[in-house]
Amino acid sequence: MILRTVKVGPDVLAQFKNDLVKIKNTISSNEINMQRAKKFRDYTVDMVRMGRLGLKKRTALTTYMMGNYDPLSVTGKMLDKMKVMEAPQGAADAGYFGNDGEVPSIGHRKLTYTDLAILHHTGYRIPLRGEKGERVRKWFYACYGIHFKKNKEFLVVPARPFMLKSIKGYEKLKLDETVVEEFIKQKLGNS
Amino acid sequence: MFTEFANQTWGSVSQYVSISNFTDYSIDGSCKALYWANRDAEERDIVLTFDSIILSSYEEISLYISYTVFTSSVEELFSITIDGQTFDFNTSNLKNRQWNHILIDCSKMVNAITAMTFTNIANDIALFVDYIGYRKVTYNCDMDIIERLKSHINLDYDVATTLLADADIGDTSIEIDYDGITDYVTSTSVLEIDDGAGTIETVELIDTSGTLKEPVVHEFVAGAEVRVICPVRSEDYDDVQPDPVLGIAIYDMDVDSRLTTVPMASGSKIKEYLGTLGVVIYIDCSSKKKLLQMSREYNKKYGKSFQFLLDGEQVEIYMDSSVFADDVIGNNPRMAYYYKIEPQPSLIAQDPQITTITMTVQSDIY
Repeated sequence: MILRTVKVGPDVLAQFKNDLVKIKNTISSNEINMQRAKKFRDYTVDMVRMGRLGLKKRTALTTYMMGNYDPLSVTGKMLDKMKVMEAPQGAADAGYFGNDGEVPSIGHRKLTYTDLAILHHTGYRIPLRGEKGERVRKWFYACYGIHFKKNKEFLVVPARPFMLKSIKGYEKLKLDETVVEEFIKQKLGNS
Repeated sequence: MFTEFANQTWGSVSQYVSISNFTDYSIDGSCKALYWANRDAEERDIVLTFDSIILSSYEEISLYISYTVFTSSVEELFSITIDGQTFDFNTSNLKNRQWNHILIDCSKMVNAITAMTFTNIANDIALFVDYIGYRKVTYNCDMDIIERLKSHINLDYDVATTLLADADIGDTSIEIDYDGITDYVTSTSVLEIDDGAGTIETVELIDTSGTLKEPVVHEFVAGAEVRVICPVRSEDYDDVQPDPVLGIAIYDMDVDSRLTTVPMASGSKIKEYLGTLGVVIYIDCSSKKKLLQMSREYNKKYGKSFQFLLDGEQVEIYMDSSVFADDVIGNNPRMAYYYKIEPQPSLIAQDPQITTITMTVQSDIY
């Protein structure tokens, strides 16, 4: 067995220590998580716009009301409102929508983009019976001239959990690893 | 798809054998406990008989066995004989005091089979046997998951009242006492009428005046208990929209596949997982108070992961995330739970048991 002896001087050790500190600061910074969140946000927006998440198709009713395009791709310009935001302890939120501003194409004053994103994720049912149901029927007639059959009980909107579907493709393409590598390379160089 | 053997009957010619139902320790609610009053008795066979069946069009016989050994010297535990084949079990392939899932290849059992015999049973053990049947994984494996989840999950809406008038067979409406429960009975509630003597009928309202979707098929007298339930429905219920409802829907399907080796009682099989299924389970209810109550019940009973029976086997399902959607645009509030699970693997190849391995070894050191 051959033992190789390497002489390390104080200047090399100091440089090594500096590099370690630099690496530590880089990988623990909030900036890297913001970059990761941004990458995921951009990927999700692209996938939705290109109709590549396999989301449930629009019903004939929604197509009549809002035109024939892929679900979520333009509704209320929601995707433009998908942002990244710093979170506690150095983390970052990739799907932050905020609670400011109403959703224009729905025309509901109380509806925020966060509400809309949640409703897309869970799906929902709007009762068409009772007092509340009457108000909904009147609204649809006034806005779109739509009459629902008397025996129709609910408007049913299926779940379209676009972020859960997006994260799957994002992980499969190892884009998170890529953005981390790129970030470190950018900060530390190739040394 | 898994089916339990029909009309199972347990028996033994030995007077010393005791066979009893045991509910404290079970896979599906009740198992058979087998033990011997006289441990020195010579006749130690126990026979399970069932309706005749040809098993060659299925993949495996599936059963769960647990045992307790009373002396540490026991190694050979018992054998199972079926269709002329005997499978031996010992302490090295079955773990003590826990459920062991046993699969026996039945794809070549072309004869009609009516019995399975537990034989050569060791002196000092007590056996627990549960959930015996046969299975085959088909391309319907995704819907198998949904159907099994449907039968596994139940929530208590916790609203009950009484019939105010007799309900006769063929009645298209019922009269119930709405006092104090008007907020919790909707025009599409599903009700259970219970006569307290074993007759329970499920009916569906189509308005809040008590009009029913289908006529009553049993007689009930005034005073019978009426419970509002939270029915479990899957994807294919578009024509029926109960309120409240626990819905189970598929939101995603993965195509990543991977091979796995599944051990049999003799040999093994190579199977393929065909990809993960994304399942959303939601509680949708016009009463926010009841939604919160049932969500808490769900969190406690099922929550982040839970076990259920799928194709004769206990499997675990894991939650990815959960989202609460409040009533913001006239919608019912909803709690949604997102899970991922792989359906049972599909058969690729049968791997025969290796009994002899011959190796020729040559040394490189000379």
